Amino acid sequence: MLREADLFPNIGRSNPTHVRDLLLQDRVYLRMIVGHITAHDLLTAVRGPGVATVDDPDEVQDAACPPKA
Amino acid sequence: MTYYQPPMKAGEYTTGTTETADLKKTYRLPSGVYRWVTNDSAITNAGGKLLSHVFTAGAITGHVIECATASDYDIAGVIPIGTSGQGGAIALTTTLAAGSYFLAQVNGSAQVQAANTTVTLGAPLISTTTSGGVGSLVTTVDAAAALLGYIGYATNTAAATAAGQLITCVLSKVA
Repeated sequence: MLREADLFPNIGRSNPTHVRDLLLQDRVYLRMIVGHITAHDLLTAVRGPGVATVDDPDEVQDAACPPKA
Repeated sequence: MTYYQPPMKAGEYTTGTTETADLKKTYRLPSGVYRWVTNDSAITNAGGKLLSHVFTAGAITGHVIECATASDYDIAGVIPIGTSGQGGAIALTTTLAAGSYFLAQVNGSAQVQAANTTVTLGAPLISTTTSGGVGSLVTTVDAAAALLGYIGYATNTAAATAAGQLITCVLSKVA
């Protein structure tokens, strides 16, 4: 069975516990970022002004249960 | 989490050595994700060039070189272009001396240098043997192995007409 860690190299090279701790957006970024990066890199990333530090509850809800069209 | 400012804006560079301690550090900025790196050898026409990691014992070091490998999947990011800077703004024609420090962009909208004129709108992009240049996946290396080196897709409104031309792209792995 294919797992997320098999499909996305940056998730595969990350500690699973760190992956679980990521914000929703950071988890998406981890999948798509070009080059070597780990969940720990994103957890410890310096966040510039205007970058969210917590998940938006509406986004989490939409990701878990997309709104009906 | 704590708010800090990155050492400098994306698209700037410095030849100072005071930022060594921050090498490899990751920065989440509104325009994308960046990593603080230094180049081991001089890079001419630096703006938009693709970078490869320099590894030590299998681990990344924060040291980078121009990527000159087709379908390289050890990409360290792209040298972003800036408009102003304290240390110096990076332009297409800027030469970065060896040991310069800057933020390498690893995702989001970016400008990259076309290695040839095969890069058309929406073209899937990979690194090429042209130092720092990107080419189209389909026409440059049409092999399954090349998929590993996919770095994103071109968003330019027109095809590149010359090698070294800047094109816009979205840096992204297949999701």
